[in-house]
Amino acid sequence: MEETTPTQHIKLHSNCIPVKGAMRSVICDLQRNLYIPVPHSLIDLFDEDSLLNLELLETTLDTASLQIFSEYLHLLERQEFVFHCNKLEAKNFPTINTEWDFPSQATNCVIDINQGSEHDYTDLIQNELDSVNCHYVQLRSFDAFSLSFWDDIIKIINGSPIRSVDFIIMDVSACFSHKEISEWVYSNRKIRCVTLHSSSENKIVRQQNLGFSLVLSVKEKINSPISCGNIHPSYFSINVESFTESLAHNTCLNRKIAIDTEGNIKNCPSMAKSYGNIRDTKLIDVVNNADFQKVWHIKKDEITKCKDCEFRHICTDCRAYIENPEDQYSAPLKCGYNPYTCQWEEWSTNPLKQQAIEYYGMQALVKDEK
Amino acid sequence: MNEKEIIKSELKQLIERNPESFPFIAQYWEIKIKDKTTLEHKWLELGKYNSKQSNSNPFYKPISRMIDLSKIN
Repeated sequence: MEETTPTQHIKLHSNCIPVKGAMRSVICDLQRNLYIPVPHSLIDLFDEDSLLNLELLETTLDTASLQIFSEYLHLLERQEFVFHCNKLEAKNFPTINTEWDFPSQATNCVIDINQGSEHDYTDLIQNELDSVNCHYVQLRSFDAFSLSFWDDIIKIINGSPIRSVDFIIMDVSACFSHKEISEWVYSNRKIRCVTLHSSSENKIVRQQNLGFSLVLSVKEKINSPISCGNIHPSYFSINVESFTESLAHNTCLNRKIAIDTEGNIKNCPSMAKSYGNIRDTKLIDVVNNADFQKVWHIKKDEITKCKDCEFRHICTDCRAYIENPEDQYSAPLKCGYNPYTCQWEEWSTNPLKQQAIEYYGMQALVKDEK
Repeated sequence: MNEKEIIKSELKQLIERNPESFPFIAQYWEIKIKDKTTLEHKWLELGKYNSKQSNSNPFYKPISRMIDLSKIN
């Protein structure tokens, strides 16, 4: 018989999803974009419907354990991760659908540019990206370009279906001042972020406004795609789209398309395999190629180390630079997190990674970073 | 009475005289008179069918991760 009187149950909100790692768990709040680490023992108290019977718990736990539990309960209540209800009311709060899809054959695109690049930006943005419904683009330049060069590109983007664009640009005072770039960003509202690399200092040049118009300068020198693939909590994306995509797809490469500096179409500019050149190959043909799609399905639950990591469904992956280049299910090389000790360490000094660093020719990059 | 107050008063009288032309809640409206601005709202064009939107939305995850943010923090 169903309960009709209120009883002391707590239930995790549907958007607060626990993920178990090797040593601890995290509860990811996919609506408020935050997470908290908690012990496995707390997660184990909830049943498969994310429901916990407080009355039953009080009769089964000893005094010391109850004291610890009450502290965690206070934390969960303060974060608004749980709500009190009875078993009948809990049925009104079903779990969220974890199926992922996106109305685009390619969701995002990386375009690399250097002085030797001969991309036809009008055709690429207005025709090719539109053919695959790609609305999110990042342009990364390894050489210095004038502001008028970037202005010509943004004019094409402004009249195209592109929704937002990121730029990674070399900071050269001879080409533009920080004031000029800030004003340019302000007047082109599809620009989400401009990162100026090879700059004299790390600073926020222009604060973001509603998620757009951010301008950053960083001292780091970026002269090739080899700088990519960093794994850091700042890159975590704690939202429904990322989380559900991660359950069945690769969090970096799924539906990504990349054009390298020479116009080669790849899964990622850092990867070796090309599926044709943008001069003579249609993006739609590459995206529909089953071989191109293979890496889309390498999910975190299959990757060494990641499958034991509590952050696996909010963290992005890297398949271009991995610890064992011979094993496509090897962990990302530039990840310094150890899920068995729950510690972040410097990845580049890890003795177990030195062979891979040499394999990818990253010695100079790693030396610069130290 | 300044110009804004006059406009506000006229609007209130208009609502009182023609209640059937306004929603029933109109008698409780707080009326604010704004200055006319020459700034036009800048629409974002989406390139097809003359479609526009007032604000855009960023992609839901990082497209690439070139900057080692651990060095900056």
